[in-house]
Amino acid sequence: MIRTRTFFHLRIMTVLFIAVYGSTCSAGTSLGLYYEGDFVKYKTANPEWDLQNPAQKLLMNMNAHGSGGAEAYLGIEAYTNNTSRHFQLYQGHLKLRRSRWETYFFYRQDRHWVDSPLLNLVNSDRLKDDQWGPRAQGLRYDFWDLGGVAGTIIASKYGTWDGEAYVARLTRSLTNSLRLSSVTTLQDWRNGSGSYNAVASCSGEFTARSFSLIAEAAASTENPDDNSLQEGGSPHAVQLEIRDIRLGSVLPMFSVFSYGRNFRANLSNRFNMAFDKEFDRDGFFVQASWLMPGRAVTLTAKQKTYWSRYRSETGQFLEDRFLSSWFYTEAYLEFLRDITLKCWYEETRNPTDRWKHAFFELGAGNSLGRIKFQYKRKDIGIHTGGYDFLKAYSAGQRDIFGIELTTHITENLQFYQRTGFGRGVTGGSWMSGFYQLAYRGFRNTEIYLEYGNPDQTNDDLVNDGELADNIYLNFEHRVKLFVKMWL
Amino acid sequence: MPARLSAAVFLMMAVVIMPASPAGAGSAFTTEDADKIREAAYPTGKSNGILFTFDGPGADGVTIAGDFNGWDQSATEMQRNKHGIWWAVVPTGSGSIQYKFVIDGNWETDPNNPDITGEFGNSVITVGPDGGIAALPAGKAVPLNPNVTFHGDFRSRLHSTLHTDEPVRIEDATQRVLLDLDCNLENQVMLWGRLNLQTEDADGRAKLERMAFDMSNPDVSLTAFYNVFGEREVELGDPYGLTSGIGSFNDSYGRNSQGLFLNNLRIGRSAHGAVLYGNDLDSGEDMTAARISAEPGIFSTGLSWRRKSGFDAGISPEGSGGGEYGVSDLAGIDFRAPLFGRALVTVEALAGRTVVRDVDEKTWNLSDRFLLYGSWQQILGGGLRLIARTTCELFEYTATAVSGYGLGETTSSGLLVSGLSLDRLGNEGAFFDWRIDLEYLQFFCDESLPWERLWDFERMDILAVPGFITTGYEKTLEIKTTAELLFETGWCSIGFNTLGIFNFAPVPGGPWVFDQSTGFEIHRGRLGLLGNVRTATYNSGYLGLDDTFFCGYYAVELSLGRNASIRLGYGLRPENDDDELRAREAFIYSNGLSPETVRTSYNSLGRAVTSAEETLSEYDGIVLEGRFTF
Repeated sequence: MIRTRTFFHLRIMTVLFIAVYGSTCSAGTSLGLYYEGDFVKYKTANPEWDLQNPAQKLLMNMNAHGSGGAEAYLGIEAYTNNTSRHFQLYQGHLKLRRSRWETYFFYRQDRHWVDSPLLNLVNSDRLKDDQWGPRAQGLRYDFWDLGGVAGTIIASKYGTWDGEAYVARLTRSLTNSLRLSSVTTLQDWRNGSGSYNAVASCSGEFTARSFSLIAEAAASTENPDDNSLQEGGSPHAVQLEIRDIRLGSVLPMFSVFSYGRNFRANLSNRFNMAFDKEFDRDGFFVQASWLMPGRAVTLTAKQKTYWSRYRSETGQFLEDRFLSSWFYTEAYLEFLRDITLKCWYEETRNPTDRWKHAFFELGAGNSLGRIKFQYKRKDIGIHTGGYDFLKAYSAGQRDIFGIELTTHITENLQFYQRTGFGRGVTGGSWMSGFYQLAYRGFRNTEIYLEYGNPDQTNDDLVNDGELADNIYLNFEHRVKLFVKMWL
Repeated sequence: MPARLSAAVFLMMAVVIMPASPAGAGSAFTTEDADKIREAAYPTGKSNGILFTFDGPGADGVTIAGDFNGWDQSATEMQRNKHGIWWAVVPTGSGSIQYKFVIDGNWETDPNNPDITGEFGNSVITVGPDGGIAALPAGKAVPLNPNVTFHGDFRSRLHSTLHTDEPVRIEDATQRVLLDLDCNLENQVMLWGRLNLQTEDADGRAKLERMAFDMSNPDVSLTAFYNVFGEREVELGDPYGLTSGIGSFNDSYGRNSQGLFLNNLRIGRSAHGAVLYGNDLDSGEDMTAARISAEPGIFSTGLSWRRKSGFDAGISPEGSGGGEYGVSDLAGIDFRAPLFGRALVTVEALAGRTVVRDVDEKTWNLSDRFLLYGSWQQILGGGLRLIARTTCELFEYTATAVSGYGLGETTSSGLLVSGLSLDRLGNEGAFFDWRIDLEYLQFFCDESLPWERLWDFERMDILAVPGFITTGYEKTLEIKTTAELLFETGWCSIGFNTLGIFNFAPVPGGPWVFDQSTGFEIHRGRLGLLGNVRTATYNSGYLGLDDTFFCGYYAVELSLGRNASIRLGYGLRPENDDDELRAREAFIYSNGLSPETVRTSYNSLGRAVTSAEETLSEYDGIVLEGRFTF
């Protein structure tokens, strides 16, 4: 056992030695190294400050180019923390390219982007199998100008569970102003017959001088294993949109849609039971933006209205259709000295609920740094007149304040911070912060000293769900030393 | 080479695809010809110079600079054809030519030429005296610096089975990358390693597959090794193959062993010494071996010794419980002399012993008051082997006559072996090769001696003639034939291999094997078609058991450049093949036919068959595969 373990380390060291040794040269095969050291101390009860989960990661990236457009990429990772260590092929691809087509055999990479103009039937998040990075592997084949047809074919296997996904997209331009496309998707998981979801769509894009007209229609299979399907429900979806219209300084847009009750597209977020659940909707969407002449001011208003039977809050289909609407308006202003102002108001309505949110942001910057103030009032009016048990799933109206600051202390030393505060109508207040000193004085090395938890405010500060919705949020006392090196 | 007396009788067939001929200077290249170019490629020779191409539809201006124009970036402008390919035909002269493209003022290497040299990273080609390009070998190593080179072999596979109750879908996706690193640290110091990167679902496994560290000078060489095999296999060079069994052999990883090997130690004028210390990583068994050889005059002689030690059941005798600490010693002397010019006679004598310390506890109740307790026991075994071998090369044949006598622990147990083989001297790519082998074995033992003791005897390697498996028959006459047929043109290779093993003892109609493989490769332009079909029949003869096995693999290959390809293949093999394989091996084994012999014969097939076999052994159904060697 001792002998085996010793040899394991010897192997690791040998490979790393060779990698460093080779990376000092340049040639048709290029080699890069990346090191990341992560040392974190948490404040806990006992001991008061505990060094938890120190982690180190060394990546060797190798690119090899051959004749005829062949390319190989290998990412080899050596990783260690206090509970595990591994040495593995982290990701890679084999690319084969000719003048009219290109193929990727990919491993643990996200190469799933496919355009579906209106219905967004393919979301790469549903294909890449993200678990601390993509885990999917498979084949992507792109071709262009094969008899006037261009397209993409993807066959991808999920890494963390047993299933596959297939996507095909074909496009043909009939004239300079008319293009037809189709998207076909199939998601297959291995738990018996009927364990798949297939969708086919076709779309057309007509571009005239003063507007574009886009239409997309799709149909999905009705999986007998899916108990959310409704008897007599339609498995079709259709949408028509007019855009790229310019009426002076006003840019309007209009869209109508009808999404069937049984239309399911598991490779999308929109028509997926696990995500946005946008099926069973008939309605329209309008948007208008006004670019104020002579001023750096943009005013935007959006309105979506639709009829549906599906209550996403309860996950149930009702007997009768009800009307829902969503309204959003935004003003964005830019002033001299890099000062910006942005504010928006958002309202969502259905027969029983009305959700209102308001946001304000003021930013300014110069050569020394940049500062941004944010304020958001969320769930306006909820629980303000006393606790409403029918809306117990909301924490009630709350005000969230945030400040973000970037300062260049010296040429190589930078200070960055995000601080957020919350105060709820139901009582209590909370805060989160993240503070970072970054030193970039070395050519290929960066050193960071951090305090606080960056994850609670990293999604646009006051709009981050952890800060905005968790009224019991505690400031996390964490000191982290983080080193990055690369060659 | 280890002594191989009664088995491993086969012919090597190599379906070798002839290397591409150097691209000679072709016809004069014109603008009309240039308009037909749809993709940039490696430079090619034309009668009016070398044709360089660059794929840059978005570039505004491209020139080429190099040795041929004094590196003047404006001297040689390239022209753009209607497909966005920039081209120029440049008279370069012969020899090594360095060049670069200048794209909108930026110096760039040729993306279609992996050969890069010099501190500025120039692209380089070699132009022959006929004005053509001297073709690069596939898989040419790309130097990172003068001391380090990488070779890579990247294979990406998508596999789909064809089950009737399911749609076609990806059964599994795998990536396999072999990364060879050669570090020439000094002229006499080499570090060599192979990294094997394989994936299983989303987990990528990186394994240092083999490694060797070599130091050598005219007086001695020293190798630290890990899992080496093939050309780098560590062997004493004795005829008995005393060190050939270090580490269990795996087709993928080689011998699972590590150790130190001191070799070519010069002793005096005509003697050499070798010392090996190795460890079997599977069993933990240690091996220490040494040999001194000398070549006084036209004779050669050697003295060898090997010790195995460890807690390994391979050392301890059958039935003694296993797991005991044992030591096995073998020592041998060999003598070789040329006979009548073309013949070589070898005489080998090998003797050894096995000591196993059994820690089994024993107690004897002698009386009510006295108890005798024993906790240690030693088992001894020993034996002697004498073999004489004569090899003679006559015209295009090699004739080998072997006679051997093994003596067990008692004079009434042992083995008598006699064999004769005739082997047509095979050349790679030869149209027809064959070999025939005739063996006679007589196995004898004292009636009172249990069979297990004879197995002890064999495990000491006293009788371990590679490939020979005792059957329990007292006498065995066996005929083995191997024949290979190879047809090859510039674009087509077809190979046929057949193996037959027929056993005539104790009565005619004993067990037999008949196995044949046919492989082919046909290439026209970028497209290739290849395949392999194999059928095998095993029969136990009078026992009435038989088994027939069929499998095949076919593929279409699209070649992309010199070292990349896409292959779509279809493989067929029996369901539950792993179980069948084991059952089949057990069947052959129990009937006196060594599975090693059979398997080795499969692997001895040439390139076409072997490459198909590799995929065949892993998959059935459809396989889509991308390959890139760099």
